[in-house]
Amino acid sequence: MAGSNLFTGTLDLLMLQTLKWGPKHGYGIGRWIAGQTNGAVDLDEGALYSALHRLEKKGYIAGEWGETDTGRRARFYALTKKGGKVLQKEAARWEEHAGAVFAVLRYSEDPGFPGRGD
Amino acid sequence: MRRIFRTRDYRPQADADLDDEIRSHLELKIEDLMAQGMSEEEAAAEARRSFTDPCQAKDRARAATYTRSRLRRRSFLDRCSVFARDFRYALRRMGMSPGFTFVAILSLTIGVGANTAVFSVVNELFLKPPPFQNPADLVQVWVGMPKARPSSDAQWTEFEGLQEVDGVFAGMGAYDGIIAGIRDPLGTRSGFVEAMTPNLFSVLGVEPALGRAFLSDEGSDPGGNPLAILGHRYWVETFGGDGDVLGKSIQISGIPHTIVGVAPPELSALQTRTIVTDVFVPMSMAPLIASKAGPEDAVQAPPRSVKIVARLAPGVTLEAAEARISGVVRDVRDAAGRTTRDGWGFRLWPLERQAIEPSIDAGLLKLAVFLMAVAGLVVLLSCTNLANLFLAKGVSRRKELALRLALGSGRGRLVGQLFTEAVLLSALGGLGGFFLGRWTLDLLLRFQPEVGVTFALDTSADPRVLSFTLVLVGLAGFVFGLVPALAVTRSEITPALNGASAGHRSRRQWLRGGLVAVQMGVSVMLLTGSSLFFRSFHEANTIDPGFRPKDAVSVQTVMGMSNIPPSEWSRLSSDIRSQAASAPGVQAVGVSDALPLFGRNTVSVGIPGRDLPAGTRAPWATRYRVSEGYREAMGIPLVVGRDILESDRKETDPVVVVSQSAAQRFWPGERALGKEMVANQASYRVVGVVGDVTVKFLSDPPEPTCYFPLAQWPASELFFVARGSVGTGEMVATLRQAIAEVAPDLQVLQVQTLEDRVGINLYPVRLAAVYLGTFGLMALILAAVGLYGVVSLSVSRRVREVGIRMSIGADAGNVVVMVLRDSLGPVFVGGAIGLGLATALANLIRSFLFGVQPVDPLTLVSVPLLLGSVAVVAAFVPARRASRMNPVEALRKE
Repeated sequence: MAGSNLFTGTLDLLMLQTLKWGPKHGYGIGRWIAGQTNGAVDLDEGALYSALHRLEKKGYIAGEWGETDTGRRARFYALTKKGGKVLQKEAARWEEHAGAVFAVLRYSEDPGFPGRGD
Repeated sequence: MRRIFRTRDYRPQADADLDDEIRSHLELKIEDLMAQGMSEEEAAAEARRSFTDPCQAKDRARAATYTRSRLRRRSFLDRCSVFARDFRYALRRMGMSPGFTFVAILSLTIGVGANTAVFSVVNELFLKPPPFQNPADLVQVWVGMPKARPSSDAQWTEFEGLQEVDGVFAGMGAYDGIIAGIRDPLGTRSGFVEAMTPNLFSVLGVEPALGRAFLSDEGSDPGGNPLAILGHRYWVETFGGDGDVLGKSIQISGIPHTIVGVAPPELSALQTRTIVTDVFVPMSMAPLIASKAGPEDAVQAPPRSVKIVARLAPGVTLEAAEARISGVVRDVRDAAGRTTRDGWGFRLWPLERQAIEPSIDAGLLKLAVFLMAVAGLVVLLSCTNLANLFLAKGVSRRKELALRLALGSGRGRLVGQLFTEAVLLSALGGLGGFFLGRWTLDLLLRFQPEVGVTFALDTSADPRVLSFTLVLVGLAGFVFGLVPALAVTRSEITPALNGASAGHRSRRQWLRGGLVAVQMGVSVMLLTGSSLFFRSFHEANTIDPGFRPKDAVSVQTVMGMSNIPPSEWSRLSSDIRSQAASAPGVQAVGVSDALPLFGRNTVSVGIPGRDLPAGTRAPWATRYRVSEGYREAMGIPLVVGRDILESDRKETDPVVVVSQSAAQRFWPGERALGKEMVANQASYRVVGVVGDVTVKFLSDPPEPTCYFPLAQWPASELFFVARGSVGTGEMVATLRQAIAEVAPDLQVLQVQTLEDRVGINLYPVRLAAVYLGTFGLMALILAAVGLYGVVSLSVSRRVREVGIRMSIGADAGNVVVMVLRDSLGPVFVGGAIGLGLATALANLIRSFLFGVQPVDPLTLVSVPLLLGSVAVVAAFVPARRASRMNPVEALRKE
């Protein structure tokens, strides 16, 4: 996984997480992410589909044409086994990472490490 | 496994999938929005509004797919599919801006079409090898001074002398072209006959398509061997390509000729490919065919001159051959007791380098260079215009392109896509141009002037023309596609993404300045050229031919081609005239042996009591042999005295009517009326003076002209001219009916209104005016649109800079002046260069202009003024807008 790039990695992670509870089509994925982040992350279509196709290429997700509840044709993406493993690993890594960043940001007091001149 | 996946990903199918998916996405969104309470239209509008441009969304989705590293490893098949995708992408982009596409293809079509048409003619005249065996060994033998372009035909006696020179030529033959009346199963008409020595086909290596060539003993006996080899085209048109034609007979100048063969299709004429020979006959028939006139004319006929073709003997160079033979002319003339200028002798000219004849070729080549240059300029103009448009489009797409570069698309991929678009446009324009060019030629050939000779041009798809068009299209695509593509994608990613307009003077701006200059220069040249021809055409139309062409018609007949005995010619023509003159609505009917414009006959004139200084030639005059009523029918003004009348008969005193310029030339400062003049071995008394007429070409100065009574000097070829107000069709019918009643055996050949006759004389200049006028108009439109677009774009891209300047205190006037100065610089530079080149080009065509000098002040001032104003307006409007803008707003503007 492209772990070196934080943002690409984050977007991929969000997508994979979206599919954890079952296959979704592209529009559904976009809506879900927007809903969960209260609109803070509103992917435009270009970014959304380029990410989806990238993930499919890597074999983390698999796309298949199907029908929505309302009978419309759409391409549904499902998490593959490989994708599931990546999700698990990356989610853990992200949590650890985020926790660390969070810890630093939340610390309000000067820890008082020895500095110069002391 | 990964490889298989990758290969599949490049299939076009993947793209179709993406299309479907985006469509499905839109539908789902609309459905969702409707569920939230929007109407269907609102939902659709909203979905589309908020949706990223479908193409861009796809591009980015794709950009992610095809990263550089993968492309570097792509296989040939991958490359093909990449091209196919670029191709479809280009098609889609073209569909998205149909206006741009239409203009681009149209301007290219016209540009390429013009080039193809001109090049086809140049190819036919100068590039194609003649349709003979080993044409490199063939030379045309002319007579002339050393080092000058020769143009004189050899005399028959000189040809005989040449045949006695040994060891220079492997073979030689002579021919001559004659316009004569031909009667065949389709009727009687005038046609082009080439008389040749019987061995000529074998010298040239020409094999008849049917039948046989002339045998070596057919042609020595004057008037013997009335045989004919039909031209291929004539054979097809007259006999339907019937193989049974051998042994049949056609009449040439009233003499029956037996058909012995048919020439091969590639041989159009012996002299040049641009005319069509109807029939080839043995040289021995030439004097009889040429003197279609009566016995009197035969006496006047000069010794026949001929054109000589020879094949150099192996190992003999052209120079060596010329050195050996040039003295022959002098020997022959010495033997005949005639003096010869020093150096006057045979000159050789390689047949391959000859289009029509050396002296005409020089002018033709100039015209061809000029037309090629003009056609090239049109294409150049289309290209710079398109390059500008592409550049402008590219600039507006910079954000998209930058984003794609950021997402990992290789620059090569983007250049490839932009370039594919250009190549596609160029190919479509080229295809259109190829057909437009051939169609133009066919059209031009269809409107041939009626001069008794058919002009030919082989417009079939010649490989040379095809490859020329292909190279042209490739170059065009390269110029207007690749250059802007490189320029646009060179831009740095970050500033473009940030929406900054490039304020610094980048290479692209230099490119744009250069394009503006080229465009301006080319437009000035084109407009100058077309304006010159338009003015010339206008001038030519105002030239007074000396007669009134309106409401008059002429029909041509040749007495010698009928069974009417010469003693009856005069009486019959006079009967036809009075019969036609009695018809209602006909004001005047007259007869002449020739008509003004094109052909002319001349006569030596002696003035009694005036001795010629030794060694000078007797004065000569153009002569017409006319009947009563001719002057009136032609509408030539009578200055003093009287017309030729019916009462001027063979047995009455010989009389002549002269033109004003003849009166001035022969009797300067005296009254011409009543004077005597010697011509045609008789003394004629001047009984009238009439106005001058243009004899050959409208631009020629008047020539001394004499009108003799037909009854006193009979002629075989006769033109009946009628003037009246009942309409030209009606008058032609009247003349035809009169001829049919009086002399049923007499055939009507050429029928013409006098207006057409003048029109044909203007044909070349009109052709040039139409051709260049069309180009000029296109250039004006292209130049105006292009200049306006480019100048205003470059100004509007400086709005931000203007804002900064104004916020630190520049006033509106300063800003406008500055912007105008900067953007008009290239316009003036280009205009100045264009003017210089236009003047140089115009000098090439000096001889094709009527009454207009190549350096025409009106043109040289008005053309740059017109184009300059377009540029000023184009720069001024956005400059003013920018200067009026609130500085803060200007700064905020992207």
